[in-house]
Order: sequence, then structure tokens, then C-alpha cells
Amino acid sequence: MRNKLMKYHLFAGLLCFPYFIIFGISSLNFNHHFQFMEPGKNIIHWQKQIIIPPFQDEQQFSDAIRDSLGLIGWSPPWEIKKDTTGFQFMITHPGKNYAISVFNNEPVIKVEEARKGFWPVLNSLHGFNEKILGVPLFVNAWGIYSNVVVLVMLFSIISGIYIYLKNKKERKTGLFILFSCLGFSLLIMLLACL
Amino acid sequence: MKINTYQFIRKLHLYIAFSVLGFVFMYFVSGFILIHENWFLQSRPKTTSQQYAVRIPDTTSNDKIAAYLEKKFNIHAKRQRTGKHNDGSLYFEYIKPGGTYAVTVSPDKLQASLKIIKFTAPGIMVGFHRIHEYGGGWLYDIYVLMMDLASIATILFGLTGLYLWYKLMWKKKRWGIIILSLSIGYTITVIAFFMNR
Repeated sequence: MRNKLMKYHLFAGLLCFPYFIIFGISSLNFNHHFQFMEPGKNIIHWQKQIIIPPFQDEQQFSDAIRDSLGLIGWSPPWEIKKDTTGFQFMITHPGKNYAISVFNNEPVIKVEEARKGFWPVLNSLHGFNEKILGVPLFVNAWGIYSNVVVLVMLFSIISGIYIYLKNKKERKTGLFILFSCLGFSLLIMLLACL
Repeated sequence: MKINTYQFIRKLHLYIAFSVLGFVFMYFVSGFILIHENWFLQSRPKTTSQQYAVRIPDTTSNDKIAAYLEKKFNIHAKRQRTGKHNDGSLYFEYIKPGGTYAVTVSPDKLQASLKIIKFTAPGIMVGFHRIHEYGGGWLYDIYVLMMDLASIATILFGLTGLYLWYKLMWKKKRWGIIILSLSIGYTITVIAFFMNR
């Protein structure tokens, strides 16, 4: 039983290995805001002539422009701006930001494309569970992978403790560390709540 | 003294796990609740709001005013945003896992309204996950330090675990290599997709 559990514990770890690295680095970034993880300044400008699609509201309009331009991502409602010259909005996904400008009575759409870089993409995969329209299935499956990692993590904790307890030599030291640190952690969480 | 690398790495994996188990467990479970908020956050948090007479010190420093308010209302939480509304009133917002505090000081600095939002149990778990950055008092900073240690531990679990697999199962490595290749390959493919699409 112990050897089988050990094998599954190791395989579970191999399955979760890249997520552990991503999770650890991105979590440290949330506390420390590392310079190298800030989005890059790699910006290009381009434009495209399209047929402006019919629309009922601003959100629908921005989504339709996005689809006509062949882009992927979301259009945050708070970034939609309308003025006398036309319409501006953002399209964003983990890898890029697009600033879109649509001018009144002009079929040419101007796009400012900003590539975020490797580290911001890695950072955004922390808990990424959104569905993006028009992307391959494997991309949207990242959310499923994240959920699987949580379940595998729980299995790893239980199996790891079981495997450890089977080893009589280190049991006392390990259990002392486990319960004292667990007690300390729960105390800190409880005090932080109150 | 010769160090047995395998035993060293094994004990590192083990004792790191035991030391930060509570926070690692909390981080993953609260993250799961955060991702699936609509499954868990059905009931509304409890909100209370009350007006108080205050004696704000004669100062233009928001930090000094905040310190006065924190002492008066016994606020032990991380200060988030502070600022001034268009009507001249000042606002101070705080967060901790159990809930949030929002204090609004009238323009004449004689009145303050205190709004307290207390989270339900799933909301508290989400609060645990969302607390970041040092600078909220000693207790808060210990909490954030434990989060940092849990994050470092997660990286070390992966690396030490990889070594332990290599040492224990290299002779029957086929399935291990398949699983590792699939997980790393999938991750790199997703990252490459977003970088280039």
C-alpha cells in the first residue's frame, strides 16, 4: 500500500510540477511586485479596414469589432469611451492589450497592440479560469487543469502524511513540526480574522 | 562530513511541507473558492454602518488622520485606499480576511461614518487568499510572511519532488516521463499561445 501510494504521490507531483512553479512565482509577485514581471513596452501600431457591423449596445459593438479584426480577448466595459471623434475601447487577454480606436464615418480601425511578455503571461495563469471565445479547446482547458491541481494537491497532502507516518524513525520529529506549525498557522489565521 | 544528497532533499521536502502545510492548504482551497465564487458565495455579507462624532487632529497628513481613526475605531487591518471625495470628505478603506472597513470623514472633520462589512465563511476564505503586501501591522505582516513562505515552499516542493522522483523511480521512468512531458509541454504551449496570438 505504501509503495503504491508513494508511486501515485510522485506521479501526482509530476502532473502538478509546472503549476507549482507558476503558482509560487506569481504568488510572490502579488506581495512584492517584481520589476521583471511588469508588462513590457513592446508596442506596435496597425490599422485595418473593416465593415462596421450592426450593433445594439456598446459592449456588443466592441465584441463585434474584435471579431471582425480577428482578435481574441475581453472588452472591459469600464474601458469603453465615446466622444465626438468616435469610439475607443480595450481588448485584453493574458498575452496582449489592444487599444482600439473607431472613428466616425471611417471604415479604418486603428489598433495599438502591446505585448506583455513572458512573465506577465506566466503570472496571469495563476488561477486563470476564464473562457475566451474563438481559442482552441486546450487554452480554455487551463481552468480544468487548475481545478485538477487543487484536487491532486489535496491527495498529495494526505498521501504524503500517510507515507511519512509509515516511517517510524522520524515520526516524532515530523509530527512535532507538523502540529506545532499547523497550530501556529491556524492561530495567525484566526487572529487575522478577528 | 559527507552529506547524503538524497536524504537531505527528502528531509527538505518533508519538513518544508510540514512547516507551511496550513498555509499551502488554505491557499489552494481558498483559491478554488475564489475561482468558483458563484458556487459558494450565496449569502450576502453582514454590513453595519454608524455615524460618530470625532476629534481629528489638526493636520493635513492622511497618515496621522488614519492613525487617529484606527485607534478610535480599533481597526486592525491593512490600509488600502485613502483619498478625498469631490465634496471635501476624506475616505479610508481597510481590508482583512474577516471583512472590510470604510471610514468617511466629513469635510469639517467633526463627523465620521464607519461602515463594516463582515464576510461569511466562504468570503473569509476568499479574504485569506486576497491579502497581499506588507505594511498592515505586525500581525498582518506575519500573515503575509507566511504567504511568502508558502509560495516559496510550493516552488521547492516541485523541484525537490522532481529530484526524489528521479532518484526513486528512474529505473521505471516511462510513465513519469510521459506525465512530466505532458504537463510541461501543455504549460509551455498555453504560454506560447498567449504570447503570440
